[in-house]
Amino acid sequence: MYYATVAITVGIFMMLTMGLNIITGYTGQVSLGHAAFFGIGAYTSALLSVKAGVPFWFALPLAGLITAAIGAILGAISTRLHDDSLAITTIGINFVVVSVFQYTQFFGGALGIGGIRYPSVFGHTLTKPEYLLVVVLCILLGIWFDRRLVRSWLGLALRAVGQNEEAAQSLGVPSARFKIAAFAIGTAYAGVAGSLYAHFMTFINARDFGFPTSISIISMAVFGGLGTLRGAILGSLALGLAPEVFRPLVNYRNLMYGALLVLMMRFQPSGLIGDGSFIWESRQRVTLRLYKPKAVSGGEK
Amino acid sequence: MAETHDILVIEHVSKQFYGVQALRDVSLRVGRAMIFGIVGPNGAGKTTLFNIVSGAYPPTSGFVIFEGKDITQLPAAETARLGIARTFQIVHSFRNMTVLDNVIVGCGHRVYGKVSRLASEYKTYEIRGKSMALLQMVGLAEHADTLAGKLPIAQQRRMEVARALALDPKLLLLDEPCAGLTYGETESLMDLVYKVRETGVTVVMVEHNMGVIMNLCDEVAVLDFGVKIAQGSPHEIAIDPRVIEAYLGKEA
Ligand SMILES: Nc1ncnc2c1ncn2[C@@H]1O[C@H](COP(=O)(O)OP(=O)(O)OP(=O)(O)O)[C@@H](O)[C@H]1O
Ligand SMILES: [Mg+2]
Repeated sequence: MYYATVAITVGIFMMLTMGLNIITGYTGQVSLGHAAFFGIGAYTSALLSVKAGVPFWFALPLAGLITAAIGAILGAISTRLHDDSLAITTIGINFVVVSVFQYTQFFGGALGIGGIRYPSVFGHTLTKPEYLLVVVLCILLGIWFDRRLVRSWLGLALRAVGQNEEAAQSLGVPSARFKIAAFAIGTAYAGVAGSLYAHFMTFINARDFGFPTSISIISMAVFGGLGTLRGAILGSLALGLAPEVFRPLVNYRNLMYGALLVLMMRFQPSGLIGDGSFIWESRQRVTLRLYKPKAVSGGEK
Repeated sequence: MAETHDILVIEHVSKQFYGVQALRDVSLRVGRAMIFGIVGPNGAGKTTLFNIVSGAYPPTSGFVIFEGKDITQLPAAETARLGIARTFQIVHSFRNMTVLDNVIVGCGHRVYGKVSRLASEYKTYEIRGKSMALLQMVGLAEHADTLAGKLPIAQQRRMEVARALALDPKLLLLDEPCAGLTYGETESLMDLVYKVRETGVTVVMVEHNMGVIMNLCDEVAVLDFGVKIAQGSPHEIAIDPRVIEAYLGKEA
């Protein structure tokens, strides 16, 4: 059971990191408030479940959609901001969202929301390993969507905006609209993650979605390699598991994430396995050496 | 009348940045399918003029007319779709994309406005073919799969030209395309500009290299401190006393 709990938590952070990677990695919009959308998804799903009796299976996609809609609105506000001011604004959004949850009676106030129903199928309440399966399916769906996105015109435009907005505009990309799209997609991932979290914990509190959680998510994305799906997956796995593997570190989690963030920025800004990182470049050199003879003979035909 | 065939008309354009008057009442006309040069000392306002024509920002006053249409207030993404392409004085590559993908971004100008087509795959046989042909034209075909940021600056400049041409532009703005290039690279870039014009594209280029201007341009305008001080054929410009003064400074 313990392993299932750890795996579910890591899986939820993987969803969050994949979403942030679309906003910050592909589209270059630094968001230091991603946990706000995690929270919006969790509260949406919790309220749907507790107040309206909506079953998990409907609350989950609804949480994704509603979070995406709110993400798009906040994204629209953010399109007028750049780099530093965007980063600071997203931190502000995170604090505002947490406060709204914390001080509004409708959202349960300081006590949060309890009694969220654990999902069930035909009267059978899911066991933890079964819940893990649901999380894994969501991740697989997220990976599939990401792969499709990267191969699509939409994904190409997002990456163009992220790497050089002025050049993208000069080539016909209306960058503001694409930034909003990136926020909508990335926050949809966060909304689904929030729903998974709420129904797994069955009790949520605004503090779970504060700024430190945002820092954890961005640390995972940066550690693995911002701008690549493999980086998001590896980063969330590594940083999600590390505190469990090294139990004594659990209380220093934030310190560890912060320190890693600083070290990565200094020594490997492309992350552990991002494009341009030491490991990824070496791997490519090796593959190149292995396949070169073939490629040459193919080219001569 | 030649005037009705002008592809680009700039009328009384001024641009003020806080305290700096970057352009002051500049008017000029560019005829179809010509190579038009813009010269002037550093800080004369050449890049500012390109930014206004391409829609990076609007002028403080004045008008920009492209093919008879007022485009003064249109943002860059829309002027691009109308057929105005540009390169940048400081290279603006999508560094972590392949050279091929850089060019393909330009091929998408008809897609970005259509939500229904955004989900489809971009690397189709047709798009790849078009982009590879452009890379062939600028001599970068063998680097198609290299990350753009890994190319030397001279090759990134050529990539920017290929990328701009992917828009199927009617007007191409080149901001100092030969800066930092060796003699051989400059020669081949001049050939490229010639080839582009042969396909019917109008070229406006900012260039400091007078050899390039003399060889390539049909007409040249000279800017100095935001004011157009002369316009004419390259040979007229080269002997114009106001131009010589602007470049060499007033003697005595
Ligand atoms: N975004 C801006 N904000 C403030 N001032 C600007 C801006 N862009 C240009 N300027 C100023 O406007 C003037 C014209 O600049 P511009 O870049 O157009 O010159 P240029 O002719 O292209 O020069 P160069 O040959 O050095 O490229 C300069 O004094 C410059 O400092
Ligand atoms: Mg300039």
